[in-house]
Amino acid sequence: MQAKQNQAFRVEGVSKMFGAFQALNDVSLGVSHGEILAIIGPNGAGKTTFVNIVSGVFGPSKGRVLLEGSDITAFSPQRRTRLGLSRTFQITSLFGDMTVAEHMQLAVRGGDPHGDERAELLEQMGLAGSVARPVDTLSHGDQRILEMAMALATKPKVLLLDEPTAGMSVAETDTMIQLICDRLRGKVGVIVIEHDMNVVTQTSDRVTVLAAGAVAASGSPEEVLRDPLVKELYLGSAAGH
Amino acid sequence: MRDRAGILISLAILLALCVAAPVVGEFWSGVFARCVTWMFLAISFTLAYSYANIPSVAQATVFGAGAYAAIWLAPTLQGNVTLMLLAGTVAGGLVAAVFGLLLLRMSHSGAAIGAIIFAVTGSILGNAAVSVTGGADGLPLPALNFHLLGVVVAAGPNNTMLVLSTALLAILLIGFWYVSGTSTWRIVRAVQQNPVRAQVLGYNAALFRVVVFTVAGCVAGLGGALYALISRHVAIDVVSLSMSLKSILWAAVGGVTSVYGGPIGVLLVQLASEILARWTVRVDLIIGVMLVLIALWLPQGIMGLLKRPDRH
Ligand SMILES: Nc1ncnc2c1ncn2[C@@H]1O[C@H](COP(=O)(O)OP(=O)(O)OP(=O)(O)O)[C@@H](O)[C@H]1O
Ligand SMILES: [Mg+2]
Repeated sequence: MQAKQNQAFRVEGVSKMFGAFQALNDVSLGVSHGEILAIIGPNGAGKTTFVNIVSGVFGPSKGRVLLEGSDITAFSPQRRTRLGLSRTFQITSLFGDMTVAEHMQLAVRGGDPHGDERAELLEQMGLAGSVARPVDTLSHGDQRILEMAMALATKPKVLLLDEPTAGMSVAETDTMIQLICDRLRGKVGVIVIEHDMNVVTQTSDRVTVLAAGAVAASGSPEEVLRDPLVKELYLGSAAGH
Repeated sequence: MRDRAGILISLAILLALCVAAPVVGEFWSGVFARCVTWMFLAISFTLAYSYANIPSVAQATVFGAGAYAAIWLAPTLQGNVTLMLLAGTVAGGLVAAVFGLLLLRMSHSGAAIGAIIFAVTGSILGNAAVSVTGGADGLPLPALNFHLLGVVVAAGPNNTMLVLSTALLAILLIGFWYVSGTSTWRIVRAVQQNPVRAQVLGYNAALFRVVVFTVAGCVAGLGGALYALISRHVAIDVVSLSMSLKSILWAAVGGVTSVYGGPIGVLLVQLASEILARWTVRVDLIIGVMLVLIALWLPQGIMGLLKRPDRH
């Protein structure tokens, strides 16, 4: 692992209380440039809460969020995005009556005036044929791929993907795995929240297990998936999925 | 997303009012002219509610700020109508900016209650400050030589004022039609649909909302200044909660999701009230039933009838 100072992104001692309920408890982790870190954990473990705190949707009760060494804990979500921290949503979150092209125009924020980069992104992601369609007419899989295309269009240095394959078919999941490996690995620091172990093993360099709001284990995908504690904590409860 | 049918219909209505006015006589020209000033108020509510996402039950307070500003400043401005209208616009924008900054700190339902409190507080303060506002009796427009771009104009419910307000409203609607096709307006729509999503794309959602709300306030303030010139009198009821509720009613009848619904809503409700008033004393009852029917069968108002079915 690289020295902590060189990490693209890091959280230190992050805790979150919702009233008396502790959703996150002293979580510290980081990701380097070009590295893909998977976070796994049972339902309600605090994974989406973590993404919300990192992206600035709400603040932590305690702890710090660092992007390339600078403290961004108090920054607004839009400021974080402009600094290169982007995310996708677990529940597809698009603007129902707008077209694919309009979404991409929103995502580039006035950059890419001729649309070349957008066209190329959509081409690579298999959405080129749908540019003029309102997004609520797209399949669920295409909607999620569009979320990913929008996140990439913001040119992130660090990208958080909250269950990018949720609700996808096997074929759509394979496309998403390909996208993560081709477009992100070695280029962007990625934190991917994922329930699908197949996706985790094929995409991730490291895995962190979150359980009841705390880091329960961390390591290479092989190590973590062999860990009996993880089997008990996560795979046991995930069998019901 | 420019709504061509919407702009054409609303411009046609405004044109029809101007053409009809000389034919139908002075009383109706006056009714039309007042209706046009209320169209500004209805449009202001729609902008605030549907595009700033602020359920502002205090738009008449903003309208009243514009009306009072025009009357207070009329002597200083020596009856210069352009400057009086500008004063009303600025006053409306300022009051809205203050309201907007406070309302944005609240949840959606909290903001509705907050706006009611603003409206009621406005009335109470207005009634208390009788020397400044004239209280319930109101303030008359000072008798001055009003002039617009060098031409002498008569204030009051006349055809000149009708044409002036209609022309300003037409310019406003055409301006909106243009803006609604720009990339900036796309951001406004994105912020309105899902502010968190828009923020995560890098947009300052709160700033967009306050700016749209302030612009909505300018629209109401301009309508208020025109109202002062046409009615030649403003009383605190103009800035009361019941007037704000009326603006919601107009917007709802016309279609609260379309800015072009405002003119239709005002005309339908106000003309129906004027005409019904000659036959029955139960005008409010009939209007109430009409509203319930619209809420049940036409939740998007009259403009909802125009929505292309292939998109929804
Ligand atoms: N805004 C909130 N207010 C109160 N409690 C919340 C809030 N958001 C999340 N929680 C609670 O915090 C806990 C963690 O939720 P979170 O959504 O982070 O879990 P998760 O790990 O993403 O689960 P899943 O796998 O189902 O997506 C849950 O018990 C949830 O009910
Ligand atoms: Mg989640």
